[in-house]
Amino acid sequence: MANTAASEPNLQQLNEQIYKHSLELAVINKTLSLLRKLYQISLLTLDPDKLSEKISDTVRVDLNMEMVGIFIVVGETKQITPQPFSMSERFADAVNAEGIAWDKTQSFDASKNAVLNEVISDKKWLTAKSFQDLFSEWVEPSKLKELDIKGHIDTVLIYPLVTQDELIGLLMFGLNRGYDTLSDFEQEAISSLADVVAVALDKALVYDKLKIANEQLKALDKARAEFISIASHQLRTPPATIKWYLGAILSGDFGELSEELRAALARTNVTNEAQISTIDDLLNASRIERGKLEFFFQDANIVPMVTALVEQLEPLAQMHKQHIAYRPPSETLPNIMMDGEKIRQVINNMIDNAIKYSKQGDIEVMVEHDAENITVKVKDTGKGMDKETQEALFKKYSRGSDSATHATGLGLGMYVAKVIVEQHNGRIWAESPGIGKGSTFAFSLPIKSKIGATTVDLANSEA
Amino acid sequence: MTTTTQDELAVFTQISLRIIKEQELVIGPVAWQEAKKVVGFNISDANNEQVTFEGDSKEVLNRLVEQYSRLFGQVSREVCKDAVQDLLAELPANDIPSNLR
Repeated sequence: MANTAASEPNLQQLNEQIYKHSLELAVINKTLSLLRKLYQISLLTLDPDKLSEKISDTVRVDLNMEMVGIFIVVGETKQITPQPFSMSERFADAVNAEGIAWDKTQSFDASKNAVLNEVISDKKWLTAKSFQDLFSEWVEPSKLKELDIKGHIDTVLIYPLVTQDELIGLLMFGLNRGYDTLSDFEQEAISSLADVVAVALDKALVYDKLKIANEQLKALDKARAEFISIASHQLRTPPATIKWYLGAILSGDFGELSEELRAALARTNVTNEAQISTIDDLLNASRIERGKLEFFFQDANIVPMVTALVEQLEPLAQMHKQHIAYRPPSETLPNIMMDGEKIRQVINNMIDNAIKYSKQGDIEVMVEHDAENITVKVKDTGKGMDKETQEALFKKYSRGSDSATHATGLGLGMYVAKVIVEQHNGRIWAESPGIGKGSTFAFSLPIKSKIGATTVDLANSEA
Repeated sequence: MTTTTQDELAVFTQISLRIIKEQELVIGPVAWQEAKKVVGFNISDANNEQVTFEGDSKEVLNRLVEQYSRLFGQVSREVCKDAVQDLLAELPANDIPSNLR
């Protein structure tokens, strides 16, 4: 019996010791749990407004507060802008009843309030007894007094939000009790919170700046595309007029031509056509960027088009001391649904490239078919290309590695060609055995295509 | 025995639940088992936090706090007080149970 009686106090002490240890763990656990929630919010939320709202809500509910709010410090100034607050029901009722508006359209000069000024200047946390002590410069004191009473405010804690020694905001807690009544957990959690919130807010603000910069870039890009479009139209008018007159002169509309003059005008015509083709590429690339490239699909045969193009480009090939060897199909090919003008441009670009990038030798143009596709191939004996160039070739402004010294053009032809062919549900590709071994450019179009639309939105198309 | 208004009863109910849940964080489900032993305090549905008071609610709350402090000492009483500070701030000083002052 004596032993039992003696051991009872020991058991009680042991119990209390275990409780104390468990309590320490519980405090740590609660703090970590709250911080984990904040980290999750920080990871999943990028918008500064939503981030502030979620963080404020979580902190207010977990720490049983009347109000939690974040203010963003504007630049290097002492202007502070409120983010959406989290408020208890009664605090929110009081805010509404008094008609107090705290939103991001407002900006407060914190230097006008001693407490806020000190928090910002010294980057240290402070307490105030009420909102009246903090905001009477901007809100009628009688309203703030009512807010403090109806919202059950006894203490306001203000923490600076600092990252990399730079003040980015303020974290404000409205309590219905004094700071000294806060539990260990609450005090520990609050002191850890400011750092976590600062990092999360900093990330969200950076994201916001990036988003704005991205929108500005998009607007600039659109403006650039529109400028190019307008400029290209202006550029196209003179060569189009020249083309019309050259055609008329070469047809004899203005009288008989000497052979010498005819040859000179024919060469002028070829150069003028190349200029028009380049401007067309520019125009189409601009239309693609603006989502305004229109297609007009018709049932047509591709072979006469290829034949005519070969005839038209032969003088250009001859100017480069080359010859186009045309291999038409041995049998009649079926019609396909295509935008003739656009496909003509694709073939023109392929032959034109072959001429530009070949110093000598024949250029072969072949039209082949199987049961499902018609394929046009343009093979040259030019400088060829490596694998890397083959992959990059269909991207915007992409040109061969030494094109700057060996060829003209904007690097848009193959990009435009790819978009056009893909809008026909076709495929375009380039192949080469290697540097110095020539290249083959080809595209195939389906014979039985389901294309029906005449206008295609290509705003997001990017080769 | 003092009479309790509906508003006070609502606050007392919140206080009792907050105390039990706070103790639960430290000692686990034992917190609910101990609360069930308190005279005048009925837990009809722990999962849905349905509790009722019989008799003087303020005294029942005092007994609830006492139940924990008898087993785990003064520290557990402080835990109870800390857990409900914001709710106590809503009550007139006379209505605050003595064990929570």
